[in-house]
Amino acid sequence: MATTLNSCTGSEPTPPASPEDAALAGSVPDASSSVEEPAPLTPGLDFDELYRQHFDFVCRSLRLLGVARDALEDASQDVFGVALRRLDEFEGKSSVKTWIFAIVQRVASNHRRTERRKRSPLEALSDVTAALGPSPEAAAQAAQSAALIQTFSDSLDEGRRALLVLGVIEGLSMREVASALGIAVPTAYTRLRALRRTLAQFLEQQEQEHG
Amino acid sequence: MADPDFDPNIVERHVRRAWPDWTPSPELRERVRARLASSGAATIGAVGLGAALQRPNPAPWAALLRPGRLQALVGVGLLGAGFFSGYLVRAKHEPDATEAVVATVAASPASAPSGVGVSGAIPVEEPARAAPQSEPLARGAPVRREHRSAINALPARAEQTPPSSAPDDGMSGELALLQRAERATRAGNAALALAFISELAEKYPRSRFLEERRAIELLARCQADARDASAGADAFLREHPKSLYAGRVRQACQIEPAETLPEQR
Repeated sequence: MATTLNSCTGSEPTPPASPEDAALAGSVPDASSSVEEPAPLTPGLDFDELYRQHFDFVCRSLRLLGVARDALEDASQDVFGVALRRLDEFEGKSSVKTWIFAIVQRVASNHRRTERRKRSPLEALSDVTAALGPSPEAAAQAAQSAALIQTFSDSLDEGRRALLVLGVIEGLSMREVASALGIAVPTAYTRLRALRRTLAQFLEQQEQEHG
Repeated sequence: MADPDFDPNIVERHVRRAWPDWTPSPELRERVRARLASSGAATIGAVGLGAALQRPNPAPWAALLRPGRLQALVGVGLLGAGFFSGYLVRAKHEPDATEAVVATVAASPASAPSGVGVSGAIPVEEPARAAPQSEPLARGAPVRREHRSAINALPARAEQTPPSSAPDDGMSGELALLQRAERATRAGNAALALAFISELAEKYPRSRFLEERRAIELLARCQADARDASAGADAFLREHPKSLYAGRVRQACQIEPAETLPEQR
């Protein structure tokens, strides 16, 4: 089933499915099995379309890059504000998604610095209990898994965090991931495989410890 | 190929499970959209509360992005949002002024200064002219320090053009000068602000923005501790007791709100 990972349904979360399943499950994705992208946006693109297609992706990425839930509104506005301002500079050399992700990284970095000054470590925990979901159980599960992956993400350096978001969560093609990270495709494969393995071990360990 | 050392499905399982937690609500999507639209609308001044927000298209910024127009619009949007809100309020009673701004902007893209984005409604200052975050902003146009930092962190942008000096650059030229003056006050550079005000008085003796000009001048004079600034502020507050700049003028000139009540004078 083709999955629109950056679905913008908002109310209807669209978790990843195959072919990303294979990638997420640990196998090295084939270069030809890249994730199905929305219709590519070209230079001179419609900002409304960009917003519609990528809002969820921006929010997910901001969260995974350490922006607190209560700062998401400001941060996502910042991202699209910059994107709007920089729109005419997009030359189509990279995908729109990785172009936006570069903005997300900068905005997230700024927000993290601000948040560290404003929030105590305990306050951050409140995000875990504020998950949305169809039922309290599902919400709790979602929050728990998100918190686990977040904890893992927080332990990574910038490059691996980007790899986690683009390669593991978003399931971009290795070519896109490599391009976004400025590394060779084989290197991206190797790093992604190692990262996925480490994440799996971390999750297994957490499951064993906390049931 | 699955790695035998760990459960091949565990990552997928947790990602799937976490997905709802990462998915923004429709309300958030709309709030951000509205904030972006408002900031973009505020950038072009009167358009923001006028035509742009009345469009059936939920994304009024789309029209702003047509080639050649964006640069012009953002240039005219240089005025700080709080400053612009005053004009917007007045523009409700002066629809011709609104149309004039739009027409001028659309017709004279070359006169618009570069280097400021659509978020220019938002005070996107360079470090030397940073604005205090507490300054009042136009409703719906909250701009944030992080945003400014992010913009500054991005690759180099075009340098801002010098103040327009063409006598025929119309309202957009005047607005650009006003914006520079206003930003100078925010950055605490009273001398620069007063220089812009002088230039404005010279170039545009007749203006629709005399209230704004006077407010900015008072802000600058009070910042510079000019001798007669207080008296000027008193007079301004008497004449414009409900001015949106009244708060800033009072603060800068250290005037108690009670002093401005007409019945006490």
